[in-house]
Amino acid sequence: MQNAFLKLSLQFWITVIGIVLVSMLPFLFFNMEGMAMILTLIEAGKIQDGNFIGVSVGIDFYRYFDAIKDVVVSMVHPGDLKYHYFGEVDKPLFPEMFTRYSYSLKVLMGSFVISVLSACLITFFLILLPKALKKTLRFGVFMLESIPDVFLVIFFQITVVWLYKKTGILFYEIVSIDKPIYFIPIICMSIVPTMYLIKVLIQLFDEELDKHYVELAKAKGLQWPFIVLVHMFRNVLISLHNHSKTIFVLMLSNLLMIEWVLNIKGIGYFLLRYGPVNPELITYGLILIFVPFFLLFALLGAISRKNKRSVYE
Amino acid sequence: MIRLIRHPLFIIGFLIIAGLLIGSVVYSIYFKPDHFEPMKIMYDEHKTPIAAAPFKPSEMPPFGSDRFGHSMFIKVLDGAKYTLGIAFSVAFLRLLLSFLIGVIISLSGKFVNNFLKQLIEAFNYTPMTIIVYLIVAPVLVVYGWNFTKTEQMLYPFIVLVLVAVPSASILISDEIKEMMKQEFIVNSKVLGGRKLHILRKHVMPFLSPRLLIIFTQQVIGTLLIMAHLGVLKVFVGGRDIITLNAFEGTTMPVAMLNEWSGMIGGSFHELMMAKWIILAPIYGFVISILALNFMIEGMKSTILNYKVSSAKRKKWKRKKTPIVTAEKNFEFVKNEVNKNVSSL
Repeated sequence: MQNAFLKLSLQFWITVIGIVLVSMLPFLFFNMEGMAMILTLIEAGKIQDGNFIGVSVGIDFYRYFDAIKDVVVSMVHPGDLKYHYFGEVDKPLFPEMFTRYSYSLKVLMGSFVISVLSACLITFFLILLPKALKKTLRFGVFMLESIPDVFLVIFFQITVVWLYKKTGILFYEIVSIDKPIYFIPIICMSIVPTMYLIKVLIQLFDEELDKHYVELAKAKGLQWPFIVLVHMFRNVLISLHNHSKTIFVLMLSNLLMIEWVLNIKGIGYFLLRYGPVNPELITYGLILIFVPFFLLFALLGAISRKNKRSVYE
Repeated sequence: MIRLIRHPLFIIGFLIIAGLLIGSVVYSIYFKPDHFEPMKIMYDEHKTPIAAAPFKPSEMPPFGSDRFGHSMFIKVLDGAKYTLGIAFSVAFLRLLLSFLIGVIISLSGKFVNNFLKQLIEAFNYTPMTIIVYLIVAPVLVVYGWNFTKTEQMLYPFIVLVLVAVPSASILISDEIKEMMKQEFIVNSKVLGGRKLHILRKHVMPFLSPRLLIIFTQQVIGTLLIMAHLGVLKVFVGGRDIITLNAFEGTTMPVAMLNEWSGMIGGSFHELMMAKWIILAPIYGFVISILALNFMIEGMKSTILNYKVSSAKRKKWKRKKTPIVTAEKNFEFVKNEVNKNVSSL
């Protein structure tokens, strides 16, 4: 137990270090501080543009490690953090970031739960269907899964606008100003993970079909839906844990795109808009999003490992 | 290889991709886009104007036209060679680099291996798009004035290549390590085969079809990142700034080439006005990603079948060989036995 905990915390810290290293990469290539100074000069109206100041791309490890040191030190006093952008003076980061973060986290968690539940439900019915129908439906899932997430969002928005023009019913506010919207982003975000999960679940079920206990249960004369629901589902859910990382990345990149396209002011929009000028924001944002999901997956992993042990003992 | 060519899904995917590429190249060689004067107003046969650019898909089939009257279908076809060309060459370079690094990792010790793997885990928790955007945006968007056009075209290309190398090399080294556990490789080690010899003679024949799958997956990954970058208004194929109104000083960034992601990014504001301008490059992306997925599906099923068939062939050979040599040996032994008996 203690050993597993030690291993998990080691994994956690190494991943956090990795996130810091990755998100600080712009400092390796550019003189970000010098560029920020030029930007503030332009904002103040002292110069028109930076054409006469040559800033080039070059690899500088000292700058990189200095920036990393600064970020790590700055995390000690989160209240003092600030960010800036074209024409906007330095703003304090934390109360604002936190409201955006909590909103996005709600959307992420909501769509995670919805996509897992709906994928389980759909797969359950898919398994029970006759073989020919199953094959065509699987092909449909495969087709839907290979449509990129951004385009699903764009199609979604176009359809909503088209429906509004035809019927006069507005399904959601296209531009959200201050009232947070939950229903549409959650629905929109759960499409891609659901399709991925269905694909994985069906694969796992196919592997499970050859195992002896299924044959035994069939031979005993148990009903097929009962076998699927009670006996096979547990084992499949345990192996589903291996795919959690992929689902997380899928959902995160989906979140970024949805917030950007639908103009929702969550953390994804925030990172994309202010990130290029303030790479520190990306570090904080990614770590903030990473922590709860890491805990969730660790919990799920612990549960599944415990179940697995009880199965074999 | 022949099995792969016979697989229907693979054929469909391959034909679509090849058709797009060949059509695009043929178009740009024989029908230069400059030869067509864009049509801003459409007339019927009595020379009365019936429509103005941008034309709807019903007025100018199949995809409509942009604000300047260029047919979107032709623009998408012209852009196919840039977008697919960038995606394929990025994927090829990624595979080359990550294969070399993957081999080195797989030959190195356990400690380096585990530590690197954990560190690269961070890439699995970070969407590729945001890493690329973070590194590319200063050059292309925020501090765009600072860099020349060649820099602006080369830089995102290099970043797109490098960003996937860590995770892909871990993937390849994992494949190699999995292969190393096979029985015939352990045999070869016992017989004194060196690491490089084993890699070349025993691992590569099994690895190379898998590398083909990884390559196609990398192409899809690159296309996805490019689509995301297009929505984020980063122009992978370089950008121009055109002046809309010289007196008011309104300018607008436009993609230099008819590259699909640039086409999306350059006219993203059209989403609510003339949505077919955005939809045309999106169709391009969706069709090519679907085709590549078809190819992957075909490759996966043929490679899995290949193992079974080679095992079958071995069984068949083993059955045949002993029958030929049996008779002679039998006679020889018989004589020997007779001599022995007589001497006794």
